[in-house]
Amino acid sequence: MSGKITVLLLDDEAIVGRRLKPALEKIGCTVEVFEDPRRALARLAEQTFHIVVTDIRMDDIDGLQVLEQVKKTSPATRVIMITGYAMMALAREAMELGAFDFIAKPFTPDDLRAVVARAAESLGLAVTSSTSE
Amino acid sequence: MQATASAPPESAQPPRSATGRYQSIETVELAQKALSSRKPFTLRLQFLIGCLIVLLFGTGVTIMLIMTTSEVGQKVHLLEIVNDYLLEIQQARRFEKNYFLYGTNLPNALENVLRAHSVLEREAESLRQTLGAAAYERVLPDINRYEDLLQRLIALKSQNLNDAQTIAEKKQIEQDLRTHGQHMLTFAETLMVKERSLLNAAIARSRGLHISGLMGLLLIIMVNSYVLGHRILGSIHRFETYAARIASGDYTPVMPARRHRDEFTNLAMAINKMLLQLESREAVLMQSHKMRAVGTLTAGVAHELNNPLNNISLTAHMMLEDYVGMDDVERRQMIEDIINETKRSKNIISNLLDFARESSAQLEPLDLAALLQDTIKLASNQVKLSKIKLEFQAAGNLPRIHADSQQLRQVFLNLILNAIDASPKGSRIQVMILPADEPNYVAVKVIDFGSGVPAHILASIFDPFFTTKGKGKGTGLGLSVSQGIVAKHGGQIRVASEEGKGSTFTVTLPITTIPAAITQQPRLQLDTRPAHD
Amino acid sequence: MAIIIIAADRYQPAFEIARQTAERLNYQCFGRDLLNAAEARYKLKADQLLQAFHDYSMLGLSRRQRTRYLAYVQEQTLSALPEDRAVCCGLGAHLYVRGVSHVVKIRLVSDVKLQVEELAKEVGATPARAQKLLVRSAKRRRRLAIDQLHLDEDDPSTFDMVLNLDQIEPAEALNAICETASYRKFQPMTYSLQCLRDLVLSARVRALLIEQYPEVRVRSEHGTVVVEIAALKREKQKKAEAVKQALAGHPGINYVEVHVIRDIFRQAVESFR
Repeated sequence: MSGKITVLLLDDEAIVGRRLKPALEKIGCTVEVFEDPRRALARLAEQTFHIVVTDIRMDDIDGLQVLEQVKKTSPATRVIMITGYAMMALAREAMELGAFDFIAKPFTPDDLRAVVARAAESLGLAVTSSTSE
Repeated sequence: MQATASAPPESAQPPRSATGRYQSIETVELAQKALSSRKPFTLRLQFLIGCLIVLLFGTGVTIMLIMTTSEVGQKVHLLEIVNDYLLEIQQARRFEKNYFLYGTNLPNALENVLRAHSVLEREAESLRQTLGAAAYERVLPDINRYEDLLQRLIALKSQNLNDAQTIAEKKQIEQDLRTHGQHMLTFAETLMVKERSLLNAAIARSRGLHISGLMGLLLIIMVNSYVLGHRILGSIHRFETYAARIASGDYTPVMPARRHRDEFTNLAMAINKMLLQLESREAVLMQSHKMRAVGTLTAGVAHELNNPLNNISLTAHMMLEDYVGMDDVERRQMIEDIINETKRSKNIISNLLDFARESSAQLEPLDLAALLQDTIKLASNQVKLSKIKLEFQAAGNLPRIHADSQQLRQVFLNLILNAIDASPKGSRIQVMILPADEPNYVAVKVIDFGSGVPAHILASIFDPFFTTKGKGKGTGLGLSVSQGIVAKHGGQIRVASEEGKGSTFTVTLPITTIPAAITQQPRLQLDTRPAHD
Repeated sequence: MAIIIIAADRYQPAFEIARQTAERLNYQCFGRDLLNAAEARYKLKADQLLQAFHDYSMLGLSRRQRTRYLAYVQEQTLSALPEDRAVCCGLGAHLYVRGVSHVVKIRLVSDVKLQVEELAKEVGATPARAQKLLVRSAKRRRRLAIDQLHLDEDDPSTFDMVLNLDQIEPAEALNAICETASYRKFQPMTYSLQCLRDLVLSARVRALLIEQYPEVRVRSEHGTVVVEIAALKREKQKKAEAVKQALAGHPGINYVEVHVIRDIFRQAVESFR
């Protein structure tokens, strides 16, 4: 299973996880979905993931804090930010903190898959093509 | 001085009704009618009447003065005549005495008597008038007789006879001469005394008339000025209070406070017209300011909307992608997700749309806590965007207030948005409802812990067009409009602030549910009866 | 990698710095000459188009002309720029790329005296006259930017960095620019690239419509284009159709929405006839 790309997906919108999990699994990712940032952070402390996809605006802990935490514990992990509150200042802040990419909601599953593919590529991993099925 | 005596009697209630300012057109019309139905008694008329009275009085006094002066002149003239006459008589008698003593000067005495006689004759007309014809007639025989006697004596003397008969006759004549001379002198002296006292009386009368005329004139002018001044100053004072009232945002029309119609009535009517204009302008201003607030909120709403939109987009895309491989349960679930997310989108904007809608304003009993919760919901996206915690507390059992929900929402939203602007990231804002310090009032406090307002501008923050925000960011109308709204509800906005520590805006509103008591302004009485006729 | 946009008081020295920056970072470099390509399309020479910014004529361009030239320059500039790895000098480019996080906006300030001298030589006027022309042109330009793009160029916060070339040598400026552009916050990302694409599409659509609808406003997102035009109520349907027709078949446009704003002024004018 070492070839599998591990993805942690964190968004307090349940539907996001519900839809993106199968979407990413199709390109050969193993996806764990969280709605609660605390539990996601706990899980991140246990295991390093190749890729973390996180929403920014959440109650309690926001995505930027998750990003900082991840970068501290595993710098190699690629963190992709997704947010409905996209603004230039926020985008720059996220990038400065080490985000791999920043996507504004609403996006399509393909948009995210493309970014995940690039992230995997940058880690020397390859995704499987979803259209090959 | 009973100032209230001039006010019209207690009468009908002012026409401010449950709907407050929203019936203002009718209210103003009613006020205008009441104002114009007064009997006209203008200041100008009063002034003219005053002048006329002064003129008439002055003319009367002048005529009387002229009369007394001419009387005095006459008296003086007569006194001169009497004096001349007296002198001549006295001289004649002196010569008569010389004759008795030395037997000389008889012709001189005659000469003087003749002169006195001619004085009497010359001034016969005026003497007759003043002394009366009877007295004049009485004096004439004396002087004629005296003359006659003198002539006879002179004739006897020239005959130079020394017989007894002549001497006896001479004696007789001398006797008569003395008696008549005495009569004449007495008459002249009496006349003199009498005339002098008459002259004195005339002079005294004339002096009295001078003084009293002047005093009377002064008194009339003073009374008129006082009444006129009182009327003008009283009205000016009244209008001063109106101006202050209007400035504080109460646009209740000016009601008649006097029985009569005058220049100030016209002013009052002009003010009422102005109030209508102001009110319509203010309504426009309020709406435009509301739309600005809506503009601010749309940014937050647009962002918030992205979440359900994203959910719909993802769901639809995945459904399209996997449609063939899915079972019915899954499809159903996805379609339900889409429906729910659509509903959620609608909810996100409907709040704002509700608020933005130009509504016909209405006063109604309101639960302030519910209204504030609504308002906070409206601003919630903005609060989230700024990463601020908004705490809301409401004291239990607060009575309802009578207000226009749309307008109050605008006020509170404005205060909350201001607080958000002033707050640094991660700080908090407190919104509280509690009974106010004054009885029968409820207070809403919006407290932020932001930059605070510097003391030197604290006094001007409610002024229109005053803003601390950058160019193009604030209109400077928010607080001014809010203050207008709150004042219309009979309340107040106050601010306490400390630079660097934060600000507290307190809105106090009357809790009374009696619609008529919505404004706390003193009522102006309206006399709706027809004009005095 | 980033896009560097340089706005300067004096074009020549700024372009030199831009060129060197591009050389060092191995970026493409763009300047005023990219307007030459527009001549065929808009039938306007580069100098004419630049008059939108530098207008030394007595009366100046009409408001409508100025707006139109600006729209053309904007379209030409945004279309020519690649998505990243580019340096662009002049052309008012800093005005068109608001909200794009991987664009570094730099302003190079220089002494007014030098500008006046340059202009005096260029138009053959006395320095005093040249100074007046300069001030007038700057005023016109500032108004245009505020009116059309809601940006105040005199506000330094419009830029990410302001360098004073009287104090900082060109070589130092070059270093500072390269260093700044390398910050991670100026890296492109899906979001900022999308923002840029949206801006490019909006500029294209606007350039297409501006001649016919001088007040047109365009926003776009992911190929959805929202066009705002002013029209009378009775023309609403017709105009909306006309706009959709004009945009039909253009690449990058998925969907067109036309919002017709009530033309209050024309309405007022017509009601008096």
